[in-house]
Amino acid sequence: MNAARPVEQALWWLAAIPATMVIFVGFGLPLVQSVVASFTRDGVLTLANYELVYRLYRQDVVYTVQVAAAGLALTFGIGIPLSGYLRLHHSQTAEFLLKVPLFVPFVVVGHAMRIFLAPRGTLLVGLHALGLASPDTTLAISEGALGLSMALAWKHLALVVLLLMGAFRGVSEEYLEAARGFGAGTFRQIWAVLVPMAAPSIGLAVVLSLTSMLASFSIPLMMTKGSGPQMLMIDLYYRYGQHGDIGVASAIGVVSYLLAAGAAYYYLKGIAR
Amino acid sequence: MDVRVEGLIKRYGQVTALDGVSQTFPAGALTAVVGPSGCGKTTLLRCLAGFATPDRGQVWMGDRNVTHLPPQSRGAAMVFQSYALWPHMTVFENLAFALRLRKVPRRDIERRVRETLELVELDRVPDIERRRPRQLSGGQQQRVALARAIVVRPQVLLLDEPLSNLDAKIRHRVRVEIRALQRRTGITAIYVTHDQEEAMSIADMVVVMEGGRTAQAGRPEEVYAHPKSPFVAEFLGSTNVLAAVVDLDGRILASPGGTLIVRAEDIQLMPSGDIPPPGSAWADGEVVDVLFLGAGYRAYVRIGDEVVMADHRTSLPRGPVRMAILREKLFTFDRATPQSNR
Repeated sequence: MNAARPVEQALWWLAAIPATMVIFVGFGLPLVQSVVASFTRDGVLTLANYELVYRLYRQDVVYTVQVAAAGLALTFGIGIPLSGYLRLHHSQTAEFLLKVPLFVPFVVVGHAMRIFLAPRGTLLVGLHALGLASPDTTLAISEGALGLSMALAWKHLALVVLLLMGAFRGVSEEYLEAARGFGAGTFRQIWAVLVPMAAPSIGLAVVLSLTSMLASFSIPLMMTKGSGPQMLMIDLYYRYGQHGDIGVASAIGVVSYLLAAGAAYYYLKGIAR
Repeated sequence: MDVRVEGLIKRYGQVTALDGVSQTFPAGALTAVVGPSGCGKTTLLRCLAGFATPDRGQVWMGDRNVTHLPPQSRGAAMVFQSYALWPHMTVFENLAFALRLRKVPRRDIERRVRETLELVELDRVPDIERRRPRQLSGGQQQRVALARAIVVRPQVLLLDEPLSNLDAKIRHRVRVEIRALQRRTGITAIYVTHDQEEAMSIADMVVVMEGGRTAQAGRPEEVYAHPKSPFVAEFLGSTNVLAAVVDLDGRILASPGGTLIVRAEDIQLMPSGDIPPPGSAWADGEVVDVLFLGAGYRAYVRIGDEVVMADHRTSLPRGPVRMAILREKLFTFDRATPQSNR
């Protein structure tokens, strides 16, 4: 049996080659190329691309992080209590309705949110009906970070609820009954039992959502104006698509990657503890 | 405080888990509810705890009808089969959780946690309060679960197969400790188990359940010595059930119309041809196998088409043997009317 082990191991390595190649060719190589490109200008190694990113886009980096952070806060601020409530008080209808946004394309979300927040849009018409606002008001949130965060949260909420529901369902009923037996209500059961016990899954959902929000493109493109700070993916698109500046575009990409990798690092550190 | 259920019915879809259970659990006593899987014992406990609402019937704790009260308002606390200790909390936090919910002042919380850990003899474990459940042995986790339940000073303690996750040796030790703790505190305890030996050894009263109903209830010795049905007789002890009757000469004869129930420890084995003691029923058979059990041996004796377990102090050779049972140790039931004729 021991003699067969090296052969078996070799076979496993062999079986892993296609998957490894896909990762290497599809992800590793472009990453290395973009890192190299970010430090290159006219064939010379330089920090000029990063200097330009700092000069032109540092506000956008902050803006992107702010939007993603606000989007995450909204998503999980709503998603955790909602998933917890549904875990404790089962409702098939609510669960079904919450899955609907999963199947709505990003572009449609941007458009829908634009209509919702625009002058004479759904929100203002509603507020006008209540006598609270004029339907022609331009809401500050409609083209700003908050509106964008709301749209991103709306889009990500379904996936997050799905992930959290799965994680919360993995918590045995006995842990909840033990808390309920001592008088813990819904809120206490969620925050004292479900959330800490599902922390690794919540962490994963945070990282996945953050990565997705940092990389969001179509919703910001539809919702924001041309002026003012932009999401980094829009900068990247213009830098590469409009200016053909692969060096700066790569530097923006590396910054985005570092932001996402930073979140992933904290997540991995957390689950390793 | 005594606990009483009256006409308790609980259905899960087409399955009737409790089928009109009425039973009193005496105050200050430890009552073991025992029965095979699916007999309704855990459902009964969940109805008592408030985690399940009966479809019909009532649950009384003392003079309070608690049928529709939430768990925390019943004055009962539960120890779960899996212990259900919150893994992200330390032992202290596990115990303090309920006290914080009840707005007990911080200083009192610390005192009560320490007192309770002392009560379950965990106070000598170094740094116990700051340990997490995964840093404890199975027996220690069990005691923390017990401590978490009694730290709120419940009037009724409900235990759902609390020892089933422990190995045999620790189980025996913790069983004695639970018994001692219950006696010290005088708490009314209801202890669900599928292990009849555990039930008999720990309880003041045993309730045997079958098919969602109470089959028999009473002191352990009484239920063991005087089972009222073939089910109870068969369930308690190492029991043989034979389709047989005893003729006028005391000979055991195969008969599909009768049921003889005899416990392994009540069978006397002797060389084939020996005269059985006066007042015995007897049968000739053949030893087909012998197992060493530690304290003695268990022989498997073929009698006609059936194989009977019989305990013996010494090992026996395979071959012919005579089996004798004192009549008072033999439970006979008619198939038509399943009542003990003993």
